[in-house]
Amino acid sequence: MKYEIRFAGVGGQGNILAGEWLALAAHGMGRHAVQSPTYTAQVRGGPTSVDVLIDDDEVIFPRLTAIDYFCCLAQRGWDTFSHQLRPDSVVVVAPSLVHKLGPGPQKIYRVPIIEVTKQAVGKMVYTSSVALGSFSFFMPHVVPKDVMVRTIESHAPHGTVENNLRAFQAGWEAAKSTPPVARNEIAEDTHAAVRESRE
Amino acid sequence: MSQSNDRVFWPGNEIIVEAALRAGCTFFGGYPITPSSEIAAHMALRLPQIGGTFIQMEDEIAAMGAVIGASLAGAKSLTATSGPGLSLKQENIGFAMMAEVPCVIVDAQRGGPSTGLPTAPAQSDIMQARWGTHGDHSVIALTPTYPRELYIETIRAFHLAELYRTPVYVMLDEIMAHTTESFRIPSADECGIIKPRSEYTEARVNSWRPFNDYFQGQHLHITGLSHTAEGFPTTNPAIVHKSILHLVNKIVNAQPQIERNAEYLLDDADIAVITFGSPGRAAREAVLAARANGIKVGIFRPITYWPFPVQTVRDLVDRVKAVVVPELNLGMLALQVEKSAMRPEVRIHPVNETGGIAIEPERILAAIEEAQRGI
Repeated sequence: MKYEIRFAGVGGQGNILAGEWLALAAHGMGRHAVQSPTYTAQVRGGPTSVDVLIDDDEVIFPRLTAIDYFCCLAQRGWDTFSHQLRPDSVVVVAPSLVHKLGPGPQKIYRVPIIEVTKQAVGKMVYTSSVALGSFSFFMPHVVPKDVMVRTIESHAPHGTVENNLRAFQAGWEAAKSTPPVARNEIAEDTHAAVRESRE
Repeated sequence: MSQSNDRVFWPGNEIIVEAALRAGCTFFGGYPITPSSEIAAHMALRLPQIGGTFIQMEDEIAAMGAVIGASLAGAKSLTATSGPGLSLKQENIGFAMMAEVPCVIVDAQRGGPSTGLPTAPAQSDIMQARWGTHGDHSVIALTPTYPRELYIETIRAFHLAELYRTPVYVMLDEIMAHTTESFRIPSADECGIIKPRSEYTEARVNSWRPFNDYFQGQHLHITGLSHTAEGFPTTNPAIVHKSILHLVNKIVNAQPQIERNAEYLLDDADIAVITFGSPGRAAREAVLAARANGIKVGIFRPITYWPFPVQTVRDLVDRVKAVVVPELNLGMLALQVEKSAMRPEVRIHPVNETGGIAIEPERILAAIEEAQRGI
């Protein structure tokens, strides 16, 4: 079974590191994992994505062609990297940073990743671990939670393991209590909000 | 899939470093430039561990100078750069060719001209590798596609550099440089010839100038000026002409030994996809999809790009009815295929991308289907 997974946001959020840990976890399970980043020449703030492809067999084309799982932490990331969504893609967004989704058939999980990071760890540098925790909740069959935890334990920089694990767990719990919303409803909400602000 | 220790998860840039070290590289001189910078960063970590030397120079041409000096002092030497840096290195690359200094140059290609697209892939330096420095010369440039090939070809680059006493290019692109992937480190048998410089006795035959081990009590004169077999400058037309013929022919005449290609499903093919580097992977998906629809199509990839496999491509084009050429530039490989084929009627269907993105399998499949309709 092949999975095509994308993290998107802006440079500096740690999306590429989150993708690397996810891919490392799959690699550790003996699967063929590919991690392929896209970013701009800007050090921070440019639209950034990382594609993670996981397959039981060899991955031939190392770039994503249709998104199975999408996690987005910035509007610019959404605008630049959401065009390969499929109707049944699983989509996680940070609602305080991704406002305008436009119409579409997908179900959206609006996990308050930023707020959870502030509450659970207090340092925004752990945003990507919260996102990874939330995202992992929706794909236990791709990489089981315990494998993700072991990967973080062995790959997080020295002195950050505890906070990364706490962030991961908080993200997981937040995802667990987040019901899906139809994308079209959010799109309409956004339009309503824009109209209200103009009035 | 095996769980042994040789199964790793490395980006292309790290594969190059580990392969170079395995080949016996003990010196890296460079100047950081995206998308090759991780090669320098990883070399800075790894070389001191094995007693080698890493040096970050003040600019690209100085880095090339450092590599030449280290090689002359006996070290297998590597530098890595990208298009803008390759432009800046060219004068010293020419010096290394003229003075017959073995070294390996990795070019992780990005969009150009100029600073272009620092973080996005391209394959538009391939002609610069061939003709970037002035004067008549021959060049060896290797264009792997898969992580395994990248590893093996990096090792082979060091071998060819020593054997023919010349700079050798390993050309990849941003996709290969930055994509991290599950990969099994090739076994010793798969890696080809790895031996210390002192054992390259055949290199004496391949050199214009008989040479001794440097700094071993012999007089030494190295120059970029046209020189005699003793290494001293000359303007004697006959000697100069002979020396230039030597520089060109030592590689041209060795084409059969240097040539390496990858062929895939070509035996019964009506259509050949001819490509190189990272688009080779998209081509494989496209060919599998086309085959599933009954189209007889295969892939030919030069892994030794320079010297170009002219005769092999000519024979291939004679066998098939159409050719599809995907590449991350506006037709540098297609030009070479046309030139090799020498048949104006051969139909080449180009698939070009210069926007800094990968060519997707769908686009190659569409070109294959178009080629099929035209047969």
